[in-house]
Amino acid sequence: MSDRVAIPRVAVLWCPHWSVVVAGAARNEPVMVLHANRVVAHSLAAGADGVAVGQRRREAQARCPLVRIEQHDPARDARAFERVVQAVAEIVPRIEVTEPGTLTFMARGPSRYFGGDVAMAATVTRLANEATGASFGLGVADGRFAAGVAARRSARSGEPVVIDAGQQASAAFLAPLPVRLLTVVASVPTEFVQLLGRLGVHHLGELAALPLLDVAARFGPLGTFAHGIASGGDDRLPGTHDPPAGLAVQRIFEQPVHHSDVLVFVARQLAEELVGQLAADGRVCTRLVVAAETEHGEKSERVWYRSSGLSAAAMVERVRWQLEAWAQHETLTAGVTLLRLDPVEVRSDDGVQLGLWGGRTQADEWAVRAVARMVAVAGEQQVLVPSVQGGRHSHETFEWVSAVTTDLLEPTERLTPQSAPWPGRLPSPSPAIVHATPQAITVTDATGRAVRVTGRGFVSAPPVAVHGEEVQAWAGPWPVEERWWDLTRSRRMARFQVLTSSGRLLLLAVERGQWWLTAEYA
Amino acid sequence: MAVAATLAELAERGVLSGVVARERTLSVSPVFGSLLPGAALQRGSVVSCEGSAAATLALALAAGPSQAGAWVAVAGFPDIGLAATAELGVVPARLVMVAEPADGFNDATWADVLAAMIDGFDVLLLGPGTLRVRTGTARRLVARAQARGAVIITVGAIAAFAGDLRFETSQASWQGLGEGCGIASGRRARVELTGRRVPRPRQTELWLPASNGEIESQPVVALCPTG
Repeated sequence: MSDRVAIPRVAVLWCPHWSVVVAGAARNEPVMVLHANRVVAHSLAAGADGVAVGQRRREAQARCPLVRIEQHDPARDARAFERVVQAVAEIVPRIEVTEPGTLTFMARGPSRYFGGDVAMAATVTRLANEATGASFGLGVADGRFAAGVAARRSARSGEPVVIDAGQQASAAFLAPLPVRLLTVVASVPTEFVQLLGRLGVHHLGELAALPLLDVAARFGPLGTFAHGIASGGDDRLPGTHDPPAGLAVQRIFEQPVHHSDVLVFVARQLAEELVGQLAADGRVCTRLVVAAETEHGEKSERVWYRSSGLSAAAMVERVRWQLEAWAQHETLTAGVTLLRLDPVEVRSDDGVQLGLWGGRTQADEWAVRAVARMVAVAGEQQVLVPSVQGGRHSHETFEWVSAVTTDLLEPTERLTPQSAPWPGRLPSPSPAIVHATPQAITVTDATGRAVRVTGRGFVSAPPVAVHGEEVQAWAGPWPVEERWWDLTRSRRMARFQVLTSSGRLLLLAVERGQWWLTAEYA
Repeated sequence: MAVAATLAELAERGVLSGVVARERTLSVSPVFGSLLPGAALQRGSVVSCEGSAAATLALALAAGPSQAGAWVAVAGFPDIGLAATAELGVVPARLVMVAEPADGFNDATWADVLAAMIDGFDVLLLGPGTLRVRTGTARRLVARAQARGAVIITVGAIAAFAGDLRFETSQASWQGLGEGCGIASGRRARVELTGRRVPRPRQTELWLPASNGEIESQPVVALCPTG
């Protein structure tokens, strides 16, 4: 650990449940923000009624029926956060927006100017609170993780929390706190923290007290990382360094651009180029400066940070946030002539990153964005994803659910098969075409009369023609009796497979003397 | 940078052309090996599946890329059988469908939706619902798919999306079904590949699907005779 660079003194400004603040919650109003049908943020009033982050919509509504529901919109949160960024930028250079609601900056310079961490913290908190009317927490400590934890404590107490300089002080501050903070602040996977709990490690101090070598041997790079930040170290992963100059990619527009769509499109090309360049060397960008300039010299420059590394899609998203906020808060007098992406911190793209990402790939990120656009164009009810339902019929094993109600990248919940067996299901292969609404057809025997199935499952005569087409082979009936206990919803039907002379294999159902074409093995 | 420069240099000299070619393709199930060289689909190509087993074949083609991590988007095919889709190997977690509302999409909406799909997904599965997309719109979309590297698979012939490759299934025969007994256990079908870059048609026989719902080239031995 001795070869590490000195741990920087960092200040973190954090607003609890920022997206609720953006949603304009009154002091005692219960509000919750939903993403993929789960609560991601809630107001104090809702929290008092038992609403918690991670709950399902229905559960949260049951606890707090009056709650106002807002949809999660990171772009809106980022636009609103720009006011805070601008207010703080008056006195602090080079602010890093970690995510909407959280910003980070190096404390040393501003503290020296204001005469100490405490004075600086009070000034910055006042500026942020005045800009928004929300109450921010500010933590100053050595190391990003300790500062983030301090900011959370500060938000609760209402006073800035300043931890003494030095790794020992940070470690002492963290020691009595629960390991759960690793997930909340440093986005360490929940499974890892749960495993620590099962092993009897409940506090950060207990994790820090373990020998580093043993933790590394048991948990690999993720364990090393967690051990490092729990003992007050920096959350820069090993292998992080400042890249050589000249990695920046930029585009100069001969014709000034007036639409953000065009800029975002160009940003995507630039981001893919940059990520490709870095990936060729096995590296990933963790800190990115996005700069844009208009024809009249108006400038926007922001630093974006993501400890797990910025993918091309994440870069494009941040460019969009920045441009939208810029256009909203300043009246631009001319079109944009320059867009530049400059990676200022990169690290080797190792196994840790995959763990932190939950195995997400570039394809996943593009797909999620495409789904958002498809929803915007076609409507929420039109964009669907499969969900396991279970049932005896070929149309029942899966159902289509609206893509906005689920988390596309966490499909386990909607796709975990139910353990209950469904007796009477037809074995595979299943039909490739399942009619959403069955079509009424006629099935006749050799004499031209409709084929009937008795209550005991006997067929009146072999089917000879289906809809006028000759039957080559057939099998059935496979009777199904569903919900016999419920008079209004009970159903009795029998299913048949019929192969016609043209080679079509059909799945038919007969219910109360009426034949239906339900599916086709096309 | 040094590594990137070396790679670029090697690629220029043709040493790495195999690697590059593989990145420009999507691998499909090995049973298509005798039809498609390297069992791979060229990115940006349009493939049409026709004949009596078109739907099964199209899903089987989409299964390879899906299992390798690609996302599959379905449009104009509201009757797609999800159980069969999963059995054929398409990963349900990476499957998205756009369903038309009762009054249908107009051409502009189709263009926007399909453009978004091409931008975000590697494989597009287009069903008969997309027959109403105008030829001009379709041409622009195909050009976009070529630039983006997405593969379009059509179920049935859709004239506007004229295929680079055309799979025709014929002589399908279902096994396992008798006169009032048995159950369909598999279908043997002849698959013929024609197309612009295929100098002479290639043929093979496949199980579309086999008794376990997947596709296979080897015949499956019937355990008990039926019929």
